[in-house]
Amino acid sequence: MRNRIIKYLSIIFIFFSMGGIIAFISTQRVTSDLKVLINLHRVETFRQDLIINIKTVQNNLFTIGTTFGPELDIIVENVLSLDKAVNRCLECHHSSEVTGKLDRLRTLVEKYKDALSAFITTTANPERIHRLKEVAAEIGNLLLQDAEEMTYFAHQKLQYKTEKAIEKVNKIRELLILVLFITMIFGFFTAMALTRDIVRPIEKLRIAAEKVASGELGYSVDISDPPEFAHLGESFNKMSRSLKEQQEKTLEYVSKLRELHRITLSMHLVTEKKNIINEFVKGVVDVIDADGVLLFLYNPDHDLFSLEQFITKKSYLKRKEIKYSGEIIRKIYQGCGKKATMLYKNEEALRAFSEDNFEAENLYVLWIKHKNKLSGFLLIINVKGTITGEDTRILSIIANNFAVAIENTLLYEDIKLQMKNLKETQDQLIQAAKLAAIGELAATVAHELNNPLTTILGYTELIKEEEISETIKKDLDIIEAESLRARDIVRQLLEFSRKRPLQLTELDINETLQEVIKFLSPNIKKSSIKLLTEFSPLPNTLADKDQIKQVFLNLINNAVQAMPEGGVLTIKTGLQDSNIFIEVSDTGIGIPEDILPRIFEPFFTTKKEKGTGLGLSISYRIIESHGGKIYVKSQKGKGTTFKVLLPIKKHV
Amino acid sequence: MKRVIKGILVSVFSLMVIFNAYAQDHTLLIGLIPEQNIFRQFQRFLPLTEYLSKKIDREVKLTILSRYGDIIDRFSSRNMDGAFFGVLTGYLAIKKMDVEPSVVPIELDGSSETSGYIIVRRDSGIESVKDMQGKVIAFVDRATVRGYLFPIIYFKRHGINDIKTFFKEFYFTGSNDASVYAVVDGRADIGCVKANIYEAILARDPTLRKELKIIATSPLMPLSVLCLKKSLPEKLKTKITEILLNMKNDKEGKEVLKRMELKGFRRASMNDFKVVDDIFRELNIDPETYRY
Amino acid sequence: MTEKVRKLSVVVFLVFLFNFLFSVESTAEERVVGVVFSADIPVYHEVHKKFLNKLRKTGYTKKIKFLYQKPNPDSLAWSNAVRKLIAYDATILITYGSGATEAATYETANIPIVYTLVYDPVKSGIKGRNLYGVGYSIPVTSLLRYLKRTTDVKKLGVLASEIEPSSKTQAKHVSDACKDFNMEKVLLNVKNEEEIRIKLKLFSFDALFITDSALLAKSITSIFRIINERSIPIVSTIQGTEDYSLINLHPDIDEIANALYRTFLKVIKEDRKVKGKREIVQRSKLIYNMKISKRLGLQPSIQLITGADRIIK
Ligand SMILES: Nc1ncnc2c1ncn2[C@@H]1O[C@H](COP(=O)(O)OP(=O)(O)OP(=O)(O)O)[C@@H](O)[C@H]1O
Ligand SMILES: [Mg+2]
Repeated sequence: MRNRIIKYLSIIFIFFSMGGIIAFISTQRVTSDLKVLINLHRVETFRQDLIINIKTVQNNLFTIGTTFGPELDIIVENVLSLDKAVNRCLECHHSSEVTGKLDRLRTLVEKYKDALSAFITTTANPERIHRLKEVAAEIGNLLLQDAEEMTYFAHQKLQYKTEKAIEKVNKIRELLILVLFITMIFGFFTAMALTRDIVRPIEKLRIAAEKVASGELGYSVDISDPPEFAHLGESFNKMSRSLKEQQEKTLEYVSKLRELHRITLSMHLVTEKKNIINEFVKGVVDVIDADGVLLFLYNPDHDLFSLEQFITKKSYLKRKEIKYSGEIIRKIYQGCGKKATMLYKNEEALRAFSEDNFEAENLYVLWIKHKNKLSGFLLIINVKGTITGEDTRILSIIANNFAVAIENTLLYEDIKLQMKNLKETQDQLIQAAKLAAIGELAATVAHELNNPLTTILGYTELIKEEEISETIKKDLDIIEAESLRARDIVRQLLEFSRKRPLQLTELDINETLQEVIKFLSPNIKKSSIKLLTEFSPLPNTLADKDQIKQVFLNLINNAVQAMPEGGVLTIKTGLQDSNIFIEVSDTGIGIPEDILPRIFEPFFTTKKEKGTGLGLSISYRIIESHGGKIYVKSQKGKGTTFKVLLPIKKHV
Repeated sequence: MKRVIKGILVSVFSLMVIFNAYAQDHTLLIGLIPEQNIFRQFQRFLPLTEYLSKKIDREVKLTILSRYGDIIDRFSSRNMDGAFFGVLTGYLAIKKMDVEPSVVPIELDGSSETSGYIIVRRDSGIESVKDMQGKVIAFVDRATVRGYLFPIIYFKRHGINDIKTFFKEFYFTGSNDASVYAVVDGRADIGCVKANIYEAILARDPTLRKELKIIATSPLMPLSVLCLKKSLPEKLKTKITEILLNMKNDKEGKEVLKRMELKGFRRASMNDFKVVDDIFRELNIDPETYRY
Repeated sequence: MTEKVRKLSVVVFLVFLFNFLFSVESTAEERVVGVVFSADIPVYHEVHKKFLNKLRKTGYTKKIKFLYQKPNPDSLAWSNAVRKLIAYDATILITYGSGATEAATYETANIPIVYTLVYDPVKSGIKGRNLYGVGYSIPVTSLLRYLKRTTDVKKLGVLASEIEPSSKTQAKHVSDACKDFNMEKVLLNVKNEEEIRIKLKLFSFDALFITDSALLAKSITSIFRIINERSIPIVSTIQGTEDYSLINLHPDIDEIANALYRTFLKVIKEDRKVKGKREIVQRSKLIYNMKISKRLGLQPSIQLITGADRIIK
């Protein structure tokens, strides 16, 4: 025991002397810091120099006129000493932050030199000289600002360093106190060690606790005396065991979750409906040990639930096509309280399922719902063991994911279809533009050909009046006949392409309207106009698509322009007698009664600069040439409705 | 006693004054016509003054000669002993005052002369003078040969006597690089520029080579010429010229040349001003009265 | 031709005749000249005003009735505008910007079209028997050079309007030049304002080049709003957008107006074959926006500051 006491005392001594040494070293360091501080103050004067130099040059710049005399030498001298001052600063500093700032200062000085040089050497062009002076002055100001900022920065640094030094002194004091304190504590523990007999069982428990903490669950201790501790030992063993059980359970749960993640993920990764079904059924089989799994999906067209996919251990199924009527299934669904349920052999519901399709001891039904609607179910045949609440939860999660994944594939198909439609519409638009160009070409060619043909015919006529032989006459007849034929073709061509002949095609009016709306929708949106459409199914009719589009465009444009503050734009189509009607109504400014009769006149406009007053008159003409009619109804301040009637025309 | 001390003080003082005056009288003042970057130029020539001071045992000082107003007036009013002139200012100084050419600096690549260019954008469609009618031209400054006088004579030789009517507009950019960029940016159709500066700009920005094209090139002329006042003692003038010419043969001189980024100096003569002289003759201008 | 079609064409002809007589009343001595702006943007107004001022001095304006169309920048609206003017027997069409010009070439091959403010018309494919006009060229490389010297751009967004040939050509020129300046280009082709918004938000770059386009000029404020948030510079080639761009290089508007005036006179005097049908204006104006420069913390090169025709402070 005495040896031990001596040992402890010497440790205390070592602590004391270590504290002393640390304190000594720290004091040394503080003094050297103070030396740095003094140096820093000296550097500060350099910086003042720098600022004075810049200020001098700036003053030169403003006080000296443009006819530089000997003053130029002064500027050059000042700038060169400014250069020197910056370089001197660069020599002493080393912290990266400061060198960064100095580098910037240096590049600024270089720029300053460039600008000053350019200013001094530019000889003509007063505008340019003035700008150069401004540039130089501005860089000079920046330089000044930077240098001053650096001074401020250095000031702060000085203060910071001083504070640091004081802090260090304080730290040393704290250190000494700490050493004293540790020594005291150590003394205290020495005393404690003397009573370690009592402590030994505790030590045993500590080791056991550490073992448990490091993962050795289930570790037990053996303490027989003193009795108080034996009791404690037992409780510890109990705790250790229960911890082990708990951990095993958690691990099992985690592995189930991982499985669930794997299954649901693979369901969402595939886009084909068939693959999703496969993944789903496989997933369920992985989770539950049973003889077979059958998946039924709902077909709303026939109100039937039909077998989509199955996996069975043996050949349980007597047939591969199984269908249940929607009514029966819904009854069972209601009967189960819309929850997954286990059915046993004697239950009526089980019989309803098995009928003569398969035989089963028990049957687990899992409902597949999407958006609260029953979209299918899963039958699990002859479940081994019991299905826990945990299993039910996992199964229903898989089922929910399945329903969502199926829904997604349907949406995906839908988008693909829409993209295809869009592409087709675009192609059609391009085609229309090409046709217009061809028509134009035909007209020009026809026009050019007409004159020479007339001349040929005239001359043929003349020659025929001469005395000529029969053979030549026959040849001339042929020339005449062919020329007449050619002229006929030319005339037809001209007729066809005069101004804008109708290029009639079978048209879906709704579709055409839709295209125009799409083109204008950015406009409509921008004016915060709400668009309502009520399209009735329409038969196709013969019409010129390009021109009809132009009419819609003009009507909708007018409506939009009539609602500068926003409003509602309603576009309706439908059938009226044997006509198609298209109605464009707005809730805009309306048309005053006195001008209503004039709006179809060419050049009639109330929009001054913005309009030409051509839109409606052209639309009128187009509709008329289609054999249709256009009506207007309007109330000032309330809105306007334009109604177009088009006769339904078919190919003859 | 007091009087003695007073006497000594007075004589010492007057001696100092005399000495000072003597020293000042012996300071050689050399002018520099500012180029691109005057600070670099100044620092470049500083070693030369030290070297010369030592060799001729006299203080040599540099001063920047502003390009504004009459350089010649300034030269005499500031009482300079010599200056590194440009080829036009040198020519005028020789014609108007008593100065004579001494040496011409030789650049590291061996050249001591450069020419002037008339440039256009490649996509401008301008191939020759006849395409330039009604276009806009940018000169550098009236006081330059390459940036003004040469183009004028060039157009004259192509039958254009009045640039005011031939071009839609003409203006002075004030510096060589400004002329180049005026053409690059399409702010002028035609530009005039000193060749060495044009080449330096192209070296810095090689993409410009694809955009610009040279239509005409002037004869070569020295970049700068050191001229000395004729009234300096003959001996001193020869000494200075010889020292500069032989710098490249002496170790210290070599060191100075290296710091100046020069290869050496060559002797200058009236021949260096022949191109300018011809131009003045052809344009029929009297150099004595030429205003710029 | 069947009888029916012939009858129909007679009806159509009568309708046209009616309208013709109708409109002759007001334009007996006047000639109708249709004017289409590719969009309602300041630069077109400005050029047109200058053009009219010149024309007024010759007294021609008294004999001409101008009909204006300033549609929204999209191809359907351009065609619609041109058709309206053709239907009202415009004898000459003046088109501003490449979008309207291209639409006009599709709509007519007979009525003379005088176009203006079209960048590099040859490369932009603006051609036709009945085409006369004023194109322009500006050194886009110059713009890129100044940009690169002002801030180190690694990735340049190039905004181009798919529906305007000028814009596409300019975008191509810019893209080609990018390599020379060590910049990677991100080409953003757009058709309408919504696409502009989406694409600008989707892609990242250090600076945005706005090519010559009526659509883009019209949307300049919304472009600016998006770009401003990211504090990156815009450079542009359209007059009227200089308040939003750091650097702007555009053709000299006075020269354009003068050239338009000359071309128009030639066409209206039917003196068409005298000289070339096309004039290309090559002078440009450089504008530097100091306000934006300061806000972005950029320092322009001395060259740019002194070279600029105007500095916005
Ligand atoms: N939906 C509407 N609401 C109110 N006024 C209308 C409406 N539609 C047409 N108008 C009136 O009829 C006039 C003639 O319309 P029209 O479309 O012919 O020419 P515009 O719209 O003035 O010019 P643009 O040639 O550009 O179409 C308009 O100026 C306007 O006063
Ligand atoms: Mg309208």
